[in-house]
Amino acid sequence: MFNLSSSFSDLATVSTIAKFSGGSIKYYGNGGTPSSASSLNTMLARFKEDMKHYLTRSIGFEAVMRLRSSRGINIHTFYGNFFVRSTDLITLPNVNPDSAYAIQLSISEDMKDFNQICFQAALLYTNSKGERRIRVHTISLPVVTDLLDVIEAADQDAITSLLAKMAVDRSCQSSIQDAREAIINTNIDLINAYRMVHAPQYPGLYISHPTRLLPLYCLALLKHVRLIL
Amino acid sequence: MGVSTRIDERVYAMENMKSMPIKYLMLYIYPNLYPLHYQFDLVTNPPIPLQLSFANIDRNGVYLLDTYDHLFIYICKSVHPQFLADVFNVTQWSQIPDECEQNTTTMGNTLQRTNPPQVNGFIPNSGDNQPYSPTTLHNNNENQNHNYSHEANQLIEPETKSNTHLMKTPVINLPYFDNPTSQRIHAFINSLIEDRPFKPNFHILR
Repeated sequence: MFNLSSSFSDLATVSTIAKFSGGSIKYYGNGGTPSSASSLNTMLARFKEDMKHYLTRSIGFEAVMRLRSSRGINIHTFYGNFFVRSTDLITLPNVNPDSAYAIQLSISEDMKDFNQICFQAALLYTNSKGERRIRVHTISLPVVTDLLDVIEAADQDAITSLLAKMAVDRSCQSSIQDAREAIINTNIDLINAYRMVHAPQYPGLYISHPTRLLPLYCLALLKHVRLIL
Repeated sequence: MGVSTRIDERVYAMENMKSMPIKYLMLYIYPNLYPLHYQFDLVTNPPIPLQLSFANIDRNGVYLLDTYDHLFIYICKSVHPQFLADVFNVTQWSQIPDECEQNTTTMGNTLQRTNPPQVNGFIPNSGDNQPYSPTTLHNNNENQNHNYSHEANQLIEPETKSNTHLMKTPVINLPYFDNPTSQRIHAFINSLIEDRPFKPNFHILR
């Protein structure tokens, strides 16, 4: 959905059409009437480029995606623009290279008998030539006993991205203030947990090397237009 | 906090966060700030992003802030006149086509700043902490705000002054001249945006 309106257009209501149908929203907001012809021309030039990209990008149609995992891992929530058909099946009317989907998992059973777990994401789609195809990605991750190994293997970009998505949901369910506090609490919990497993020799706030930028990214997230009070 | 955002912008930012790929989401959350005022080469010596702190802003520098959906060029007051002549074809800093000319008093009234404004207009202040361990989280740096760039978007866009030069690629309103400085800046900007699905909104600020 491309929104070029210059006044309030209730994007919160109108954008739901894109949310469940695998679409995307592009808002060119000028906020008021565009005060000059040249800024209007710029906006139209951008719209033209975006539309050109939109119509010529690679795409798949009528897709469903299923995530399979080893026993003991359950899917907690999905984040993104699609329709959730059952516990691990999502329907995507179109698949394009510009959307991202996030899946939050939870551990439901003790995994002490396993030394690795596997995930498989399978996407069944129709490509632009009309052929029905399945694309499969499988990944296997080790199971460790030490919390230190888990923290040392953390991916801070992925953590920030998932935090942002969780904050969006939390602010819709309760309030923006809650979402902000939840982000701050996440950072506090991480630093506390790291301190417990890796007691430092000297006082001060200690954070692991792979997650060293996480407080910085969370601060940037809190100052973003999305979460400003 | 006394700063309010328009609800359409906020909802759009929400939707973006849920569906953007990680590479662009990280740019959206923590933008890249490139210094443009020294000799750089796209292949051998490309500009590297700086930490978003006002301490890194040089008084005679020109910076490009890339937040995925907006591109800002920020020109400081003591910029070298040769640079001005090469890139904008003007002789004085005050002659640069600026979108913010109407906004200076509004900016001064609505945004609270404790540091003196060095340039006439918008300051993309981002006071952040050092990312090295051990980290200490200072809360008194919050007034140097990273959100100014987003604030200014909402204030800039309704009152855009029509002084921008129209040019070859109308998406980017930067005049193009036939000298190496202007060419390499254009080449750099194009290399940033050419593989993006959505083209950014471009602003010149001084």
